[in-house]
Amino acid sequence: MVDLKLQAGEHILVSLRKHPLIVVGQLIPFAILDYLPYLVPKFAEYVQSMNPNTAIPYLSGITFGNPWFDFIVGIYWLFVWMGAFGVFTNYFLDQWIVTNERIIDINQIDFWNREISSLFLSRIQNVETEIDGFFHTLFGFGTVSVESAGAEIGRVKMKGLARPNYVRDLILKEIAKFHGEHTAPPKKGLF
Amino acid sequence: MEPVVASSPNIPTIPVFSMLPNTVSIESVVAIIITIVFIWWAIYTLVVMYHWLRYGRESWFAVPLLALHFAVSGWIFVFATGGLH
Repeated sequence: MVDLKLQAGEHILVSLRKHPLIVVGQLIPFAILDYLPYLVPKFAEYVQSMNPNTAIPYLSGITFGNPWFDFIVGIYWLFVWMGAFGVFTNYFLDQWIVTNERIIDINQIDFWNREISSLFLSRIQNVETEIDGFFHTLFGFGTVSVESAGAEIGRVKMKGLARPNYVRDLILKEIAKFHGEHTAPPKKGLF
Repeated sequence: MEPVVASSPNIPTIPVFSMLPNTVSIESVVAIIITIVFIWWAIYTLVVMYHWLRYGRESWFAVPLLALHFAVSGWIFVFATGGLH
C-alpha cells in the first residue's frame, strides 16, 4: 500500500475486512431505490384506473419506452449506481492489517477522509471478542476489540469482522511470540 | 420542436426575466442536463479511480471493478439518451 510503510523485519500476517454480509446489507437500500422506477408506471396506471372517464394528461407517457421517462429514470439510476459503488469502495478500502509487530487500522471514512492508526503488539493489554445477535451468530461475524496499556490508552475496534475468534487467537499467538522473542531466557543455576 | 418557455405579451416583463433569452428549446435544456450529469460522473469516476488505484491496487479486484463501473455507467447513459433524437 502506498500510505503504509512496514518497518524492517515486519511482515503482514493477515489482512482483514468486514464480513461481506455487512456490505450486502448496506447495498440493499440501493437495490430498493433501483426498483422504485418500475413502480411509477404501475402507479400511473392505478391513478388512470381510478378516473376511467377522464384522460389525465401526460399519464400515458409514464412508462418505459417513452424517451423522456427513460431519460429521467436513467439519470436517477446513474446517481443510485454511483452511491452504491461509493459504498462498496468504502467497504473495500476499510481494512485491518495484522503484522508480526502491530495491528494497523485503516479507516476509509469517505472519499478524502482516511485514517490510519497502529497499535503495537508490545503494548496490547486486552483482546476481546463479541458475537452478539442472531445474524452475527449464524454467519459468524463479530467485533474484536484490542486495547493497549500505558499512559495513552489506544484501542482498535474491528466491527463486523468475519471469524473474530480466529483473529483473536492469531493476535494472542503473535503477542505471545513477540514477548517470547523479546524476553531474555531465564538464567540457569539460581538455586 | 415546440419551445417550452416562450415570452408572452400578456405577462408583464420583470427586469431580471428580460435578461433571459426569449425562448429556451427543450434540446438545449436536455443538452445542459446531460453535460452537468456527465461532468459530475466524470469527477466522481476520477476520484473513485484514484482511490482504487492508489489504495486498492494490490488487489486483483481493482481493475475489473473499475471496468464494471464503466460498463454499468455506459449502459445507463445509453439507456437514458437512446430514445432522444
